[in-house]
Amino acid sequence: MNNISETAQEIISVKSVSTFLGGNWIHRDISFSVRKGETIAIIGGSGSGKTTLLRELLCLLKPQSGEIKIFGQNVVNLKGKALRAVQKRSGVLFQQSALFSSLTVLENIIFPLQQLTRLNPDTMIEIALLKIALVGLTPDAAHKFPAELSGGMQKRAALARALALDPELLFLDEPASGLDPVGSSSQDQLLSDLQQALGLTIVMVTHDLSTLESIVDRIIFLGEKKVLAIGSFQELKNNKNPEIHAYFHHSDIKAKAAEES
Amino acid sequence: MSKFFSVDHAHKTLRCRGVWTLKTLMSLKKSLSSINVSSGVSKLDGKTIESMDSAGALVLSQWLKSFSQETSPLALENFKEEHLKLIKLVSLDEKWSAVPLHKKPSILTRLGMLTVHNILESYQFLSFIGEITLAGLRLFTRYRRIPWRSVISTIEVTGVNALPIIGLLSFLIGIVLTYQMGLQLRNYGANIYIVDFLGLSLLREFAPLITAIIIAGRSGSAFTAQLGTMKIREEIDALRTMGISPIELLIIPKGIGLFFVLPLLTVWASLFGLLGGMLMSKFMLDISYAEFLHRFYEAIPIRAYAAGMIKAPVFGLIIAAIGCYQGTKVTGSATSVGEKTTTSVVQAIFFIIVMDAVFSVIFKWLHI
Repeated sequence: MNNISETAQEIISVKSVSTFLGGNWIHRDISFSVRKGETIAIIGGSGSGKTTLLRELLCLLKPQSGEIKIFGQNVVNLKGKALRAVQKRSGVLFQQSALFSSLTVLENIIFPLQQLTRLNPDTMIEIALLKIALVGLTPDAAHKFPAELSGGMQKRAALARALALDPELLFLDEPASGLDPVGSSSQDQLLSDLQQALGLTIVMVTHDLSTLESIVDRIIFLGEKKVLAIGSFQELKNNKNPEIHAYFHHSDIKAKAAEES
Repeated sequence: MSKFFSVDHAHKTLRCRGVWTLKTLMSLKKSLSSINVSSGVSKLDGKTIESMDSAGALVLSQWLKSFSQETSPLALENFKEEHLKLIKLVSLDEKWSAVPLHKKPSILTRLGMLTVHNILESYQFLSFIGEITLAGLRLFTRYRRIPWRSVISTIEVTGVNALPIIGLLSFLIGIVLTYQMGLQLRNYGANIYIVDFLGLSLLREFAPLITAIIIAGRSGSAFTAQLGTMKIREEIDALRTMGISPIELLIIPKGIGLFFVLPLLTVWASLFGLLGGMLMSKFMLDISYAEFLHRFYEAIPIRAYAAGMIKAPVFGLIIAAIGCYQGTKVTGSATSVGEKTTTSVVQAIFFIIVMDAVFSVIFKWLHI
């Protein structure tokens, strides 16, 4: 098996990226890399620039300086066909779902297939239904409009759309928000299944500790405009940095305060 | 045999190979369907499949299912672990094969649905009118609660900001009318009657109508888009939960604003229309400004002016009511905002012209 060389392959590499937005430096000199088949979570307090970083990885925002390589291509100044080729290989789940409100769920998922592949309509419907089933929606949701679905169901539908083209790289912005704990853990299960079956690489922004613990390989902790720490859940939990410590132990601290008072 | 598999008769095995992904899906489907079921194969070897994604796995699992219905099921051999996992992941239970697809209803059904929809729509519009009338009357008994700031801001946005465009368009219409009518009047040497014609038609019809149509397009659409977007973003619900009536805060001020704005703009439009007419009369028909004004003073009764001024506030209320009503009809999608904005402008202009005709009939009865 050539698995060893494959896991060592870097899908994303970010080198000394700095971002200036709205009169503030959001990031200063951020560097990290993501290997093929990894699940990476970007975490940090509110306003630490997680979503900004994600938008840069999605080529929606240009950093002031630095280099972002995706699939070995520097995407910072990439344009036109080359940029589309990179984007075609990745799927995105946005924080607000971003489903097209004038299309039904099924049409939403068929849309990228229609635009970017040459399949016949029946096959597109089959594939779309498969994705709807995979994310745990029921068949009757297929013909509903996004506005008729609950927030959690919209999230699942958006995940199904992100998976429509079987991307190699999946970006998730707060995938667990709006989901109940049961739904959230079944989503985690689906993501790890897909990852093993398809060799998917996942980059997510999340606050869900159970997701972080169960399926995330490495966590990137953003704070003070830079990467404070990169490591596994356990490593970060034992980190002595006060901000990181507070992030993972806030419930313990609260319990302690309650005990003392 | 094909780029996706070959038949090994000695081992009764179908050896799969190649790329089984979304990119090759259509040709993969075609070659799978061409496999002869009675060829006696009993095993499927997946060792040489280079890559497989969920689409490829779906096609394979569907084919396996249809195959097992006709003969005995195939045994899967030497598949990579991740490929097996994928095939297992994509084999759906029966309920998914029976998802009903949307059928377009017949023309008769659609006609029926449209009829019911329109009847309900007019009923809802009437209740909306009733609701804002009641809310308006209630407000006038407690006039201090009228949100004057919103009224003033409506007047600024819909009235003051519209002055240039309405002035310019009326001026041009004055010129056009004078030119067309002047050509005819000149043949009879009745040049001076241009003043009668221009004065009556502008004051009674053109000024109120042009103003109302411009404001319907300019402000009616804005009302719909604003209320519609606020509704989608749950801002209206937020107001309700604070105990603030969206009708009082958002709709009534727009109604009051346009009620005052339209007559004022109509005066402005008449003024510029007459200016255009005066200019054209001087150059084309040799009527001096003094002659024009003198004739105007003699020929145009004050009731012509009054007739136009009575219509204008009614037009204003129509525009505000329809604009706001369509805004409240917006549902979840972005398309819906566009649709309702279009409907709002079209309906407002329609009702303005209908109302204008009604006024003409009434004025005829009253000999105004």
